[in-house]
Amino acid sequence: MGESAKDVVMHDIKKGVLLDLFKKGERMDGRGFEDYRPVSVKKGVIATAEGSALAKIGKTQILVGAKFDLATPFADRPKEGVFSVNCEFLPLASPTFEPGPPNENSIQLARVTDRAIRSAEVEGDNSITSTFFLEEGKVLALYLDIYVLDHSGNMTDAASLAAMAALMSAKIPKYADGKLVRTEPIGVLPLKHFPIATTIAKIDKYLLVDPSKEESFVADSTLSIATTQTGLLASMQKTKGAMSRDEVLQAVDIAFKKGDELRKYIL
Amino acid sequence: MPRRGAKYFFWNNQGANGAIPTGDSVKKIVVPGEKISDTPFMAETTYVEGNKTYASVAGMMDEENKFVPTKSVYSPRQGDAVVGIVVYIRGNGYKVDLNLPFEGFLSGKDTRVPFSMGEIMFGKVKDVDEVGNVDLVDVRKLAPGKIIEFPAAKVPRLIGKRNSMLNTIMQGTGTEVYVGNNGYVWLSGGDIGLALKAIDMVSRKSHVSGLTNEVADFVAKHKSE
Amino acid sequence: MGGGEKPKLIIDGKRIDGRGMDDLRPVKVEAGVLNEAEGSAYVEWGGNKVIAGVYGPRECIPKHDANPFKALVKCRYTMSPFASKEEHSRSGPNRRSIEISKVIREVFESLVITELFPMTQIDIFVEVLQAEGGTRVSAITAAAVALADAGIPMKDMVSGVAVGKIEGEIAVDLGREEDNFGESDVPMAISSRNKDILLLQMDGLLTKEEFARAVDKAISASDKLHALQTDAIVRSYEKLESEGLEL
Repeated sequence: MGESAKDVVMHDIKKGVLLDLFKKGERMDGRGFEDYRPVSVKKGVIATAEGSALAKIGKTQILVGAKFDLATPFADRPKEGVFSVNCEFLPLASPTFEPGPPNENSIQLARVTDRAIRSAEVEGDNSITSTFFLEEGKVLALYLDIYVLDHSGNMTDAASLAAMAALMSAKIPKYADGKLVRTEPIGVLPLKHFPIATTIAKIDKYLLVDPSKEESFVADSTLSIATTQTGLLASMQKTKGAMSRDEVLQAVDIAFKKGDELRKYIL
Repeated sequence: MPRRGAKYFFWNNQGANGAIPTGDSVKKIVVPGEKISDTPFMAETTYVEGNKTYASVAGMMDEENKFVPTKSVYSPRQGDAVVGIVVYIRGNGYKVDLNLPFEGFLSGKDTRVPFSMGEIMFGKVKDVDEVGNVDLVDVRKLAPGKIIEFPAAKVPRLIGKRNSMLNTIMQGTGTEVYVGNNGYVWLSGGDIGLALKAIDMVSRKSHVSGLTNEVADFVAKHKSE
Repeated sequence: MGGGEKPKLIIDGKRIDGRGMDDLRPVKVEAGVLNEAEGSAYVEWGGNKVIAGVYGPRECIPKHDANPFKALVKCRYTMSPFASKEEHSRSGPNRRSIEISKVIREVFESLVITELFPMTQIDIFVEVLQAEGGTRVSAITAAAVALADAGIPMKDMVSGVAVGKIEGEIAVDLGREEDNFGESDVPMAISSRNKDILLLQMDGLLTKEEFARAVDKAISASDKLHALQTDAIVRSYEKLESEGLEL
C-alpha cells in the first residue's frame, strides 16, 4: 500500500503533537519512555496445534500456532529437522491490511522472528532441530504460523513473545510406523536461550520502548533487538531512517533490560 | 415491548470507581431487527416494515422510550458541523479528509481563506449528493493541533445539552476543542493530556447519566494534582 | 462421508459427547474483541474458535466495482494452518473457503441495508483459528455480532447452525465425528425475527420429512443462539473497554 496524501498530512500533524508531549517527558497514553504497555501471554490456546500462544501488548494481539509434520531433510543436512516461520497479516487486524499474498511487511516480520529463534535455538550445538531426526530420509518439520489478530503497534515484540511461548508449549508427537501420532506426545523442545525482541522507536532525539501505532507511524527509525536469557544478542532489525552509534548502543542496553522483563511473562 | 432473547439490565451504581451516579433509569438494549415502535417513523438507524418501526443498529431505549443508537456509521447530512483536513489542492478548490469513505470538497468559491495541505478546518456540510459526496461551506481555519477520531454516534454526548459537556472540558483543561459530527475532534492549547482523558471518559461512559458532573469532578481533581 | 473407521455415534440415546439430539455444544459469544476493526466478535463453539472483524463502509477497491446505488458486501472466510488436528495446511483461501466465503456473503447481502452507502464496500473477515466441525455456521454467528458491533445497519440478526442425520436420527449441531461419519449434514442460517432461511446447504441423503424436521430444529436452535448474540452485545456495553480475546 502506498502512502496517501492523507498519510503525509497526518504524519506532520501527529508528529508535532507527540513531540510537544515528549518535551514534557510524557507519552500519549501516559507511559514513561521505557515502559511497555500491559503485556500478557497465554500458552496452549489452540487445541488443534501442538503448541500455541496468544500474546498481547496493549491492544496488539498476536497468535502463534506451532505444528509438526513429516518432512524430507535437506540434502546437505540429512540429520537435521526443518524449522519454518510464516506470518499472516489477517485483514481483520488493521484497516491497512489487505487480503492477498504475503507482502514485504509480513515477510519481514516472519523473517525477523525466525532469525532470533534460529540464531539462538536452531543453529549450533544441541539445537532443537537436531532432535528432529526420525530415520534415514525422514525428519520432523516444525512450522510456526504468526497470526496477527489486532495491530495496534509493535507487532515485532508481540510476535516474538507469542512465538517463544508457542515453542515452549509445543509437544513433540510420537513417530510410529512411518506416521506421526499427535495424540501421544513424547516430549518438549530443548530450548536454552529464550530470545525475546524489544523494539525501540527513535522520534527526533527520543528513544521510546514499545512504540504505539501512532508512534511507529511518525518514528524516524525503529530498531528491534532480540536478547537471550543467556545475555547475548540474537538478532537485530532496523527499519527506515538513521540512528547514531550511541543511540544504537543505548538501545541495546535498553533491550537487554526489557528482554529480561518480558521473559518473565513466558518463563 | 419485551421479546425473547432481549435483556434488561441496571447500571450498577457502585461502578468501577464507585462513581457511576444513581437515579439512572432502566435501559433496554436493542439489537438490529428489534421492533422499537408500533407506529412507523424513519430515521437513519431504523426501518419501517408493515407500519411498524424496527432498529437497524444496536442501541438502547432511553427514559422516554426513545431509541438511541450506541454505535452507528456516520452518514453526513446537510448542516452538519464537521472537522476536516485538507489533503489535496485542486484548481477549483480543496479535497478535505472528513473521516468518511470519500473526501469532501470545498469549492474555492465558498471560502475566502486559502488553505494549504494539512491545514485543518471547521465547517458545515453544504450539500450531500445521492452517492454520498459532501460539499463544504462556512469554513474557518483552525491552527495546527491534535486531531483524534471519536465515535460519531457518541458526538452528541461529547457536546452535551447546550454545549454543557464541551464547556466543562474546555473550561476545566484550558484546551480549545472543536467537535465535528463526523467524529473528528480538534484540540489545541491547555492541558491536552487531561482533555484527551476526559474525552476518552465520555466515549467509554457515554451511556451513563450525570456524566457531565462526573467529568467535571474528574477534570477538577486531576487539574489540582 | 469421511474416511477412517466409523465410531458408534449414538449410545443409549446419547450422542458421542453426551449430548441429546437437540442440544448445542457449549457456545460462547463475545463482541468487541478487536481494537482496530470497526466491529468484531469471537465465537467459541465446542472445539471451534472463530473470530470475525468488520471494516467499512469504506472506499470500494477496485474503484470500477463500486455501485452507485449501494454498498458492496465482501466476505473472506479462511482457516488457519494450525486449525486442524491433522497436518499443517497452507494459510489463505482455497476452493473450499472461497465457496464458503460466497455463501456467507450472500447471507449478509440480504440483511445489510446497503442502499445507505453507495460506492462503498463493507468487509467481513472471518478467521477460523481452531476447527471442530460447523465452522461456517460459527462464522456466520460471529459475523452477525461483528456487524452489529460495527454499527452497520441491518434488517435483522442472523445465526447459523448445522442440523444433520446420524444413525437415523436428526441431530442439532453436528460435531466433528458426526460430520465425518453421519448420513447427512444441513448447515443453515436463520434470521432472528422473521425466521428466514438465509443459508441452506446440504449433503448426504434425507427424506422430505427428515429435512422438514431438520429445518424446524434449526429454527428452535437459532432462538438460543440469538439470545447468546444479544447477550454478547449487551455485555459489550457493560464493559468499559475491550480486553481483547480470551482464547
